[in-house]
Amino acid sequence: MSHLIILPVAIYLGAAFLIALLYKKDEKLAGVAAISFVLLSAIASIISGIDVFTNGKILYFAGGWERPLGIVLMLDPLSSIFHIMTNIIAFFVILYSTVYMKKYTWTPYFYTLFMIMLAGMNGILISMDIFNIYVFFEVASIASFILVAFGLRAEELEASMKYTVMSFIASTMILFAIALIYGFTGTLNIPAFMSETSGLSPVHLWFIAGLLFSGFALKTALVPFHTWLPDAHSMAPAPVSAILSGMFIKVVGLYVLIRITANIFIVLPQIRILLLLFGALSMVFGGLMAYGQKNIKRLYAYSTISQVGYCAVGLGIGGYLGSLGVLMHFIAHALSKSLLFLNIGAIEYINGTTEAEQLQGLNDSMPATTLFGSTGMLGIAGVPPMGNFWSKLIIIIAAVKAGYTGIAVLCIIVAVITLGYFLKLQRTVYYKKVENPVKKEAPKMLLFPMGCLALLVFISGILLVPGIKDKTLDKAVSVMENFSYMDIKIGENR
Amino acid sequence: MNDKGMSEIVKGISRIVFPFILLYGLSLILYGHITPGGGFSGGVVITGGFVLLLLAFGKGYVFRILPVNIAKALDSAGALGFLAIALLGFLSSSFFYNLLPKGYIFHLWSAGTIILSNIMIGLKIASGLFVAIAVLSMARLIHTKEGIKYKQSRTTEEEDQ
Repeated sequence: MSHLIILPVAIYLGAAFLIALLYKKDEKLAGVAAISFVLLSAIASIISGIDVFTNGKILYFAGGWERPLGIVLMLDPLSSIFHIMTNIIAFFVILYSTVYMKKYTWTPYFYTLFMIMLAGMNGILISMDIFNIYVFFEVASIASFILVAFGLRAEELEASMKYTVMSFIASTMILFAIALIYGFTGTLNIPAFMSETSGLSPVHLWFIAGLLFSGFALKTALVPFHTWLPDAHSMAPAPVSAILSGMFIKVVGLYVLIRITANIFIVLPQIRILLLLFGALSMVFGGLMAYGQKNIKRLYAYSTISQVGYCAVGLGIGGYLGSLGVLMHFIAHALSKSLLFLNIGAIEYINGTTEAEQLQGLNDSMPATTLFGSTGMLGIAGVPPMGNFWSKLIIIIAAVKAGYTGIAVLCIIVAVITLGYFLKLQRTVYYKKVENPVKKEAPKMLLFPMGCLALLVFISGILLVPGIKDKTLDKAVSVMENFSYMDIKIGENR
Repeated sequence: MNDKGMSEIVKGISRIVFPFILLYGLSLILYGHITPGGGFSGGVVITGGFVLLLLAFGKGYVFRILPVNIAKALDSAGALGFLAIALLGFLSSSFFYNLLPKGYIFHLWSAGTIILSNIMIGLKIASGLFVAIAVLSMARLIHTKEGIKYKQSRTTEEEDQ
């Protein structure tokens, strides 16, 4: 059995408590330790990812207990994409935070909490047991509540409180659903539960699916459930916002929603209509709300709601193109949104504010930051060479092909709105001419992660080139489209 | 004998009861694998003993017995120990694999690594909960004419940031 699949979780948990134990006085050493541990698990996730993409899924039995007794951990192409993305973005974010977090106190505890959150996220991605997913979900969520409130200002505490309360409502619903699942089917193993779903009565099935759907939709921040997100993501420190907006809501929300709709409740295709509805709603609502925001971080937070709406729409449409669109949009958006949050963090680090009106003409004072910021903005807005353009195009084509012409039109309108609010922002904040500009570029340690992410955003469209697409995205799409757990035999390691 | 804390009766009773609470907590931890209980409940009971001391004698007395810094270190050490036991399984087949000899049923040594895991969880829970309660005991709401104010005292913790 390959231990690589469990390593990221173990490394992150060990790193968290090692930093809390050994380096709580020394911020520099804590930072170095955090960087090296994240790098280690990023390498582990990439190696196991390569294994998954060449040889198919990896099964792992915790404690040596085989199915159906034990907890099954599994890495398949779908979770592997999320796994690699999480660890790569976490690496850039942790590089960035070694400099950015200097203005906060208790930095070693920041790394501790960050590592615990990453452990939870990685744990969700490798679990094939719904209660295990719930446990890691709580681990990641509770760490993120504290990270949102890390600055300890009144607004941050308020945002964190709101986030905590909403999130506990979600986890109550999820736990209730899990209890019902266990009561009705006697198993918590996702494959075993999936094969039992056809035997349940429709009322029970809908009730369980509804609870699970609302719980995870709340974490994904689809529109009726979104109210916590703008506060939490705009108040958190910039690296935390970057990982929350870029990866966290996609791992604890979108990934599990994909599993629920595409892999668990396949007997319940109507759940896709719900996703389509809520996705379209959040797309439009998030876009319109973002247009009116004065605070740049808040604008980005609303933009996240809008873009996650695209993912939900793609998931709702389904089919090969819909699923491909979801994955591509997730990858492109994760990269560009974490770049944008890191970017506004660098601007805040130098200028001390995130209000659009007080920031004018940054192109003259911070040219590199401006370049990376514009790349991220154009990336999300969907300007051709970048991944977001192709993903939006695929989702629109999928909508037209599936007969949802209205949704396709909405997608186009929201894309225009997105371009609109980013261009408006760029015109004043970045490219307005100011007199006597003072050159004060952000530190190199802040620029380097942004530069790498900007490069990744720029080339993310490469995943759709035929030779590469067959080996990566298509395999993940096949997990979403026609995945049968029946092909995993008991006692088999692959 | 200082004047802080509650009356002499409460102090006397607490002093007598405290070792027994500790003993009960330890027993819950050590026999967690064969009787009801385990690391979590045992750890909570041990913290309960310290909370009793804290209420009866005041925080200065308790923080001399178990300084918060040491409790923080024990908390991390418990977590790391638990992780180390899980990683020990790599030697044989998988994460969390129980590779120690299993012993005889219903004896103290009868479940391989489970008892070690319980001890580590007990350490983690007892010290972690103690730190949480210590932090709460340092916070204070002061009623003034302007309204309620929050104050954090730093007198009992010498140099912890």
